[in-house]
Amino acid sequence: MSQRSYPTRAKPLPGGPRRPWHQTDAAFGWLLLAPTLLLLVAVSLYPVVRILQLTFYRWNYARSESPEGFVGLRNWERLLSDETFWGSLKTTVVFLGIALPIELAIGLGLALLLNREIRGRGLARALLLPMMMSPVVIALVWKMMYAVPYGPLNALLKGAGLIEQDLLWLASPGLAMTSIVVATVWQWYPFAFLIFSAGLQTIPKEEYEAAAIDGAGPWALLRHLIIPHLASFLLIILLSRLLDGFKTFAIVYNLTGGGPGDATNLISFHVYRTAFASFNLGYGSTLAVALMIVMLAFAGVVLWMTRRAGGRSE
Amino acid sequence: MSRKFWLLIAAYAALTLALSAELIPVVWMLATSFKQDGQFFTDPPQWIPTNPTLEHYRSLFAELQFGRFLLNSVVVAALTTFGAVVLGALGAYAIARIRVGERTFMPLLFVQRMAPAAAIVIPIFLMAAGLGITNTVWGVALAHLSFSLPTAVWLMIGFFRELPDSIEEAALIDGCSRPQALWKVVLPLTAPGLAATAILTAINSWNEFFFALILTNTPASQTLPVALSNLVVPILEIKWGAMAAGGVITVLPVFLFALLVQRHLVSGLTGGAVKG
Repeated sequence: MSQRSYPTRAKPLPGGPRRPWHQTDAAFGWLLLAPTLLLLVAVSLYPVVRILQLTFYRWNYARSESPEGFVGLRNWERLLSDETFWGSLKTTVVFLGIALPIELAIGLGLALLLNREIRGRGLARALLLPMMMSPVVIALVWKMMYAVPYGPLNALLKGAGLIEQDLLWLASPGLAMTSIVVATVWQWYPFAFLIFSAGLQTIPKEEYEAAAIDGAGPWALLRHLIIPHLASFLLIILLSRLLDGFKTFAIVYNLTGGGPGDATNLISFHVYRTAFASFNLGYGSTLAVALMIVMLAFAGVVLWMTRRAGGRSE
Repeated sequence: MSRKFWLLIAAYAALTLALSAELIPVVWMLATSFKQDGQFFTDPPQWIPTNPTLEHYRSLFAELQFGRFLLNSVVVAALTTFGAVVLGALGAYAIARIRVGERTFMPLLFVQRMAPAAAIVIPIFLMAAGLGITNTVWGVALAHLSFSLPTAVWLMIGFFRELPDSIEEAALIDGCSRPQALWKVVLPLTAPGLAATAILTAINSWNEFFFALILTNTPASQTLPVALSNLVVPILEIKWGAMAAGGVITVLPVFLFALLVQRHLVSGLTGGAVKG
């Protein structure tokens, strides 16, 4: 900070000449904000409007560089009876339904255990490294871990006596989903840990002391003090991971290619395949909008449930 | 033994387990990048290469054009960061300190958060094709701004609001105009926050895969994650050594940057939801 000290006159002088509108603070503010707003309209709002519009067109980009014709609701009709789409939606929900609770459980458990002054707690920061790695590198790392034969993961599991035969992590339909869940949890449970840890820090020491005086055991402490305090942090994690989870793409693209069969054909990957591997932009847009609606619905349900739970506890 | 003692043991056991689980796969990648051909998968596995080699790093740059991809990634991250931080700082200042435009900005932020990349990539691809900037770093940087700019504004609103109103009022009473107050008082005082925003923006752009994959298909324009993906999902056989070396090169700058912003890492990684 500079050494200079500012005089603290209480108010600007009243009754000064009024400045013309274009020299007011508000005009200056809008001027500063204009480039951001314009750019966001161009790269965020306009694309959403445009893609809604494209759902009403037939357009194969391999055949034509502009829409081939208005087809009304035909893309949407096709969507309703498209079993691959509904299958991929179900696969995505299963994927999130397994991965997110595991992330939350490990993150919360670790945050609770490490919520004390111990030597070496700073090392926990190293847990955040995978969160900062490109999803392509996550896939790369796990491609090596899952390798068969002589892959390091199978070797570790054999060494621990957990398995006897090599597991075909990526090639067997039953295990492929587990494989992408493991890679996802590995990258993202530290996020839950991070936020839960921050949440635990916000509980005042006096409340623990008060609870101790009341004779609360560890279980009562968890149920009546800690969990209610962490509810809003849980919401942050859940919303953020849910929205990101629906966008999971790079891991599928690089690790399993959606296979074997359609075992790991998550919805974002399915949209990509339709729009960019098959060049079907009209129907691909319809799938993308459907994905957006599903995401809105899930986010809405999470918010609604928190509001209801919040209303009950108060 | 007391319960406290066992809890301490449990805490250390959990920390050790978690750290090994998070680091072992990364260590394996590092080890593989130094292994000779034929040593990648052996029984028992080699966690430390017996006769390490730099051959894979050499071939990345000499044969696989990774120098070019590295440069592209640097340029895309720099363009994105410059755009997001300069425009974002001005916008965030208007919202946080002049208090205009929040009701216009928030719906746009909401649209961006809810619209999956898979949806907006189609119009952005068409837009880039119309502007003639597919297969250029400009197209990728434009796409990266679609998520970097709103996030940067959001983060910087937080940093600007931490600054007490009185400091800026004092400058205004002192005879500074608004632009002067912004330039001479507010920006210098929030510089650490802006720097953290810049580094986090750079990391996100550096790592981004989906937009870059769709907007580029020439070596002259592809970024590291796309080039790396071509090694992970190759047309022929996987070159494990080169692939691992490419992974190391991609994560190394991020780790170094992360060390620089440790203090702001938490608020950055959580999108400003939690202050570190």
